Amino acid sequence: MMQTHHPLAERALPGAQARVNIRPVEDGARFILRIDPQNLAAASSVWGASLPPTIGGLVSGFGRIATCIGPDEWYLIAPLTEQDAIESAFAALYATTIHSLVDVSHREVGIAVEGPAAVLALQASIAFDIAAMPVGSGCRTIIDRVQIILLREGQDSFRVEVWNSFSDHVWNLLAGICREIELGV
Amino acid sequence: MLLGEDGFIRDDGVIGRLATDRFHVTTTTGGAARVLNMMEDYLQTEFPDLKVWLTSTTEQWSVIAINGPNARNLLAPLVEGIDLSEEAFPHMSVASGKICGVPTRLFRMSFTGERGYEVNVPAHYGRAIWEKLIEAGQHYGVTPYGTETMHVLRAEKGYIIVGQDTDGTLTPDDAGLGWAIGKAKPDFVGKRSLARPDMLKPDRKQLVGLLTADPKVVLEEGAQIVLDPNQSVPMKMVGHVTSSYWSVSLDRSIALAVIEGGNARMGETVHIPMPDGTLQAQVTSTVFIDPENTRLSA
Repeated sequence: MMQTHHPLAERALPGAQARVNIRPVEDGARFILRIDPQNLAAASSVWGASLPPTIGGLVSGFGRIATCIGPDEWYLIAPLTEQDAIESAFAALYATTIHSLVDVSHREVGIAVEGPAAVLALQASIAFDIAAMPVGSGCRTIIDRVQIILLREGQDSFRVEVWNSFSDHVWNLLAGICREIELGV
Repeated sequence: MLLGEDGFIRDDGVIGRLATDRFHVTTTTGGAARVLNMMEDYLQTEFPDLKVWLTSTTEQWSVIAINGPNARNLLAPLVEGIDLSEEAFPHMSVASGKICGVPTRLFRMSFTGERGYEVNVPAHYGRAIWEKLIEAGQHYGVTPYGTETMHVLRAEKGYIIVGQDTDGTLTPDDAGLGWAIGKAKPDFVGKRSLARPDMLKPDRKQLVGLLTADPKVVLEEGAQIVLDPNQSVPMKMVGHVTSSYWSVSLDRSIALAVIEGGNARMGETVHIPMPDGTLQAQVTSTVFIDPENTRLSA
């Protein structure tokens, strides 16, 4: 199989990061699902878990994450090994229920932002109120003019999903912020 | 082509039909976000009843263009699941399959006028596939080429670049692209404007080719064109040079320009006043090489 070149491959912050750390997330299957909300139950059956019906909602489990980022738009993440099965299942659904499932696995990369100061690190360049973001929610937002999807998986753990060509900028930005936080600037 | 409500060219690109209801849309360089926004805008405000969704895949794919008479020979041993014969995969085709074991959306299209393919692979495989193609291409003397070369090759064939040869005031007819308009279509954005009297005037600026009297002289892009070099200043300017290059294939300069009533001026000499003298050029077709397009299938 051909080698993949990941834009953030092997990036890591130097030294111990007690307050906040960032790391590239391992590769996964990613999809944008567009479907009439009235058909959400059918899509949920195919996905194998209830897709969140409200914008901002996030449902995770078994290595999968589903978040509602628009009136008829869901962002789905799953282990790479499950990509083909997911595509086949939705293709079968299409016979009765039209929708759009687009593979964006290679479109973006994930950056995990973790630690007691994760909220502070993200708030530095995001206008959205990070502190008020419920645990177990997600949204499309902007970090320093770059469009991202931001997921809050835990009190101190976030995931930034960013397009390839913007990932270097966002990584460097967050790395600088993390450094400042560690230094207590 | 994408027109505005005003009938002027906004963007151009290639659309591949993957299924009855699934299309892969490409745009001019840098135009994808703008075109997506325009389509989404119309979808949400003008055509909300249409059951269709748009998803950006700009960064999902790495795309490698392969052009030249050996393009198919290079690809054939590497591609699985796609019949690359002329009958099954003529110029302007798209199909899905695998290349070197990874998924590919293969387009047969050309921006050079020669046999051309665009290999789309999921973005993180782009580098590896590029290296594989370079390695496999050594046998054919493969050479990477950059945007300057690409610009020259497309200009030799009269292929426009939106935003360079157009400036937002050209209609499809002005740019010699009237053939791309679906005249039988009941409606499309810009259709009504194309029928306005001002859009039908014969002396509108039209895209033409220019060959300088001195073949070694390369015109400056943006240079103004006049019909009478002896008139007093301020002169009446009738157009300008939009693209200008040295053509190695023709061993002389070529240029594209928009000139009032250009299509009716084939063979005429026009004048380009420059700071150190006035240049002459002959108005020609925009296609300088292989007007029969035989190289597309060579």
